[in-house]
Amino acid sequence: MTLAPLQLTRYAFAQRVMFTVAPMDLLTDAFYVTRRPALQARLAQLAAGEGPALVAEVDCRFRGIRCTGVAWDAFSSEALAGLVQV
Amino acid sequence: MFANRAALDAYEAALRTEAGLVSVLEAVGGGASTSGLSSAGRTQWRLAPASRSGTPRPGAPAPLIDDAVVPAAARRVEPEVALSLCNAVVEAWHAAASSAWTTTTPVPPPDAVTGASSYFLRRYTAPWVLTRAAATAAAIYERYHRYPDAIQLYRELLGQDRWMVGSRYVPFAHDCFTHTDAHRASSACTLVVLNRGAWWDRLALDVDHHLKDRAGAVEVCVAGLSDPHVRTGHRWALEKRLRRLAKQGHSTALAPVPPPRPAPPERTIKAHLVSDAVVGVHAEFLSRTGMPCRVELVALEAYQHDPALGGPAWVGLHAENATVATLFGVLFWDVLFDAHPDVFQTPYQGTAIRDCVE
Repeated sequence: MTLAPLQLTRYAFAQRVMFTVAPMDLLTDAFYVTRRPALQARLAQLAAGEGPALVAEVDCRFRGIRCTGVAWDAFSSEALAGLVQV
Repeated sequence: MFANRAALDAYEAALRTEAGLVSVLEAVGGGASTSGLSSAGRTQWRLAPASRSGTPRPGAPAPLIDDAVVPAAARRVEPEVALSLCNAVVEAWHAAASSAWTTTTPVPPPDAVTGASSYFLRRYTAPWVLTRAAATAAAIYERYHRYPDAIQLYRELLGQDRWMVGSRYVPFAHDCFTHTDAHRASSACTLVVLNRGAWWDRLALDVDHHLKDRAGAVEVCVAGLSDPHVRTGHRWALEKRLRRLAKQGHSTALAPVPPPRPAPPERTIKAHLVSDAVVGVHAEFLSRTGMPCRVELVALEAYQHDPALGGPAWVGLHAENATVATLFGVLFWDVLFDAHPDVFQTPYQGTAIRDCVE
């Protein structure tokens, strides 16, 4: 599985989000309210068992890039993969 | 952020109105549960509002309530004054916020009235702030035992899906232009319920306990439980009330309580304590490598090395909430950083961490 439709959004947006670790609305109700379709689609993907592939891809492409909540140091690639084993 | 200067002025006026109403609420009996400042500290905050608030721009709309109406240090507010202020705020909210309810769409469109281009930016508009103020007014009605007024207001707050649909919203300093406003807003958070779940909860309480309308309370609880924006603690509270009503013989059509999970097995692990037993300081134990370590590592080592506990088959990690947070970030990475309007304001932003709590 790939993230193709959204591509490297982080870099596509590079000028604005170069040092950004999260969208401003992450901790507000707006995060879910305005992204409901995308979030529901992702939950459906996870329910369909696409989690491990997704983790592998994000780990491969973005490991080390800061993001609120993500503790790359605490979870090696293997540990992260282990968390989503089915 | 703001569509134009007028929008900013209206937003500022609404914030001052809200702060005024909060000071009314504090005066009518919220004092005990305000934030942790000492009373001396509070007095200082309250005595300096004029100098700290700055002067509104000439021609800017005036707030409905200001410190001239509610003396900052007032300990008492006459009920008629408080209630008429509430009525005025509710009217202002109606005028500002009820002109066009949105229907339930997958994603809220830009707001036609305030010009806010996204749902996120609606919180920086006057109607949003007045919605918070209306919730404050409901709390004041309750304090004066005006339950029918409070109930009607909660029903109106819950009947719209344009402002504050999701969250408990804790105003943060960048929402408030002065320390006084920020302090008042943060005290308001401890006094006022600021999300739909809590509104359902208060509504159910008022209908059930104060109006003694059990059938109505059942309806409220059922409606609240079917509201997709009600989550976790408030869902639990509504269910609890519903179960109590069911026990009293009211039909609730509620699924039976699932049996409690069996308790996990208890195991005792012994380790050598190397630190002094001081309250408030983590105890340190001797790890298998001979280094002092915390109790979590002791447990992990025991599971990894002790055949009686399952032997070397275990792989453990001590990460607490980081596990869930990391999984969320990784699994939703592209959703988080998708090109979404208004949420990436500067290249250097962190999250608006204290801006809210979900």
